[in-house]
Amino acid sequence: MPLIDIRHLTHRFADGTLALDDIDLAVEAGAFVLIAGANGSGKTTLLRHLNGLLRPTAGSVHIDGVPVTRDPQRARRRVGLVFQDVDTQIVGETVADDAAFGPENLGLPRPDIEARVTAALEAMDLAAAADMPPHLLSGGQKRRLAIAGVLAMDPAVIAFDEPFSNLDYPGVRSVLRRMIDLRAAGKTLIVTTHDLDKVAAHADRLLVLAHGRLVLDGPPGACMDDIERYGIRQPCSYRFGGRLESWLN
Amino acid sequence: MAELSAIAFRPGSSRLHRLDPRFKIVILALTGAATASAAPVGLAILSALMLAGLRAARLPPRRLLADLRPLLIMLAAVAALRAFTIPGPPLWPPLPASRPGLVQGAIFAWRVLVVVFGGILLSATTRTWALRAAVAWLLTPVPGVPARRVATMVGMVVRFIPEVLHQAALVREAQQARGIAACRNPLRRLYLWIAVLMRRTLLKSDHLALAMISRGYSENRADQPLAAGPGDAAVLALAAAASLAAVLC
Repeated sequence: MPLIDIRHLTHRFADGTLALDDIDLAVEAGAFVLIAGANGSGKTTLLRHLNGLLRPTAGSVHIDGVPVTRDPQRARRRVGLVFQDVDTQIVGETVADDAAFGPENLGLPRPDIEARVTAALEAMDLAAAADMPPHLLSGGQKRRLAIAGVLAMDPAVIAFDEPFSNLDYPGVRSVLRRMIDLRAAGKTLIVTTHDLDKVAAHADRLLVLAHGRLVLDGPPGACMDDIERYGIRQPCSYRFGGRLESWLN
Repeated sequence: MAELSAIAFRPGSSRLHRLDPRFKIVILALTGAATASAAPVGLAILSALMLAGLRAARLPPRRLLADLRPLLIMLAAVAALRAFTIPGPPLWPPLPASRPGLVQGAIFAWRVLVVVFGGILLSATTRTWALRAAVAWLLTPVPGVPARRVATMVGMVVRFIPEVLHQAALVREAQQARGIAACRNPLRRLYLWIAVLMRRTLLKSDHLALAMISRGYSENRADQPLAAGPGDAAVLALAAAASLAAVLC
């Protein structure tokens, strides 16, 4: 049974815009899936269906075989979502407070919350900043804090919405390195992006959305020749060398 | 981004930071009530209490004054308006301003400032979770009031006032950069500023709500336990004595 099973998912917004159109998709545990597409292609809408922030107009999303609409809180424990605008995701006055927000919502005993916060901050290399106000962090640190906040809830899947937007080169490398670590630790990663350059070399599957439809699905290397017709630029390393290179090299 | 605002929570270990948040709220209520009925001598006592609090909390006075500049300008305008509208012996014969009007206006402004500084002391030294837990504790015995929901709303409002002020400054800077000064109509300038600020604030609050739901927000959270000590009672007794003296003087 796939960890994520999406069947005929369609989403139409109140103004009539068709954001997702009959999406069928299965994701196995431990996969690293990239979802690419131009602006407005439906990437963020798709992510928001994974933990029940949106309800399907038609079709269904199952996590571990359980429909998300039946138990959205369970879906939120299983799928952590890191938003594109991390400033709106951070609610604590200190780094540690913010990382504790999710575990506190789970109603865990205080020692368990503290253990999870410590582990998540260490995994994201933020332990030394535990007592700092989040607004003093750099862009890359804020993104890592948002990941720590999700990680502290111990989800099976971490979904990243444009995780590299507004980050400088060191910030991109720092976040990318943590994503690789999370994957090695057994997490399933789903990453939306319109810029494949930074991450395509690490993914094992690439999905391309265009106007709400799933138009490409396969290993990243096999999809690259067709990708520019959907408004996504080929990575430089592929364009000039015919292969995908990691930004961590 | 550097410092967000002097009004925002500032991590610290001062006596005020360590004071039980339930006591802080009761002290704020006591001093607020005393301020409403205090004469100038009483206001001086309460002002001394607030200044001692600001010093104890180590809040930066210059930054605080800069953040409060719009309020100070508004209070000065109100005091001036009262001077010109309340009848009485003229302050300076060529000007139609009365001495009693100016005194009443100044006392009104003084009262507002004492209450505002009390609120700042609360917000700058209290974490959101602590404020939320204290409000919930104080409201729980009140029948018909959803204590935890109200506590969450109060906590989020206090948490995001500095953020809204920051957004207001950003909008003002952006409009200045686009030559808003050339617009001679102050009402139009005000409208343009408020319209953009409202739109940004509402959008951010939408994103925040989504992020909180995504992180499993629930009213039955595992909040940190509150604990009062003998020192807290001493601070409360001091504030109560000052409030009583302010009313009686």
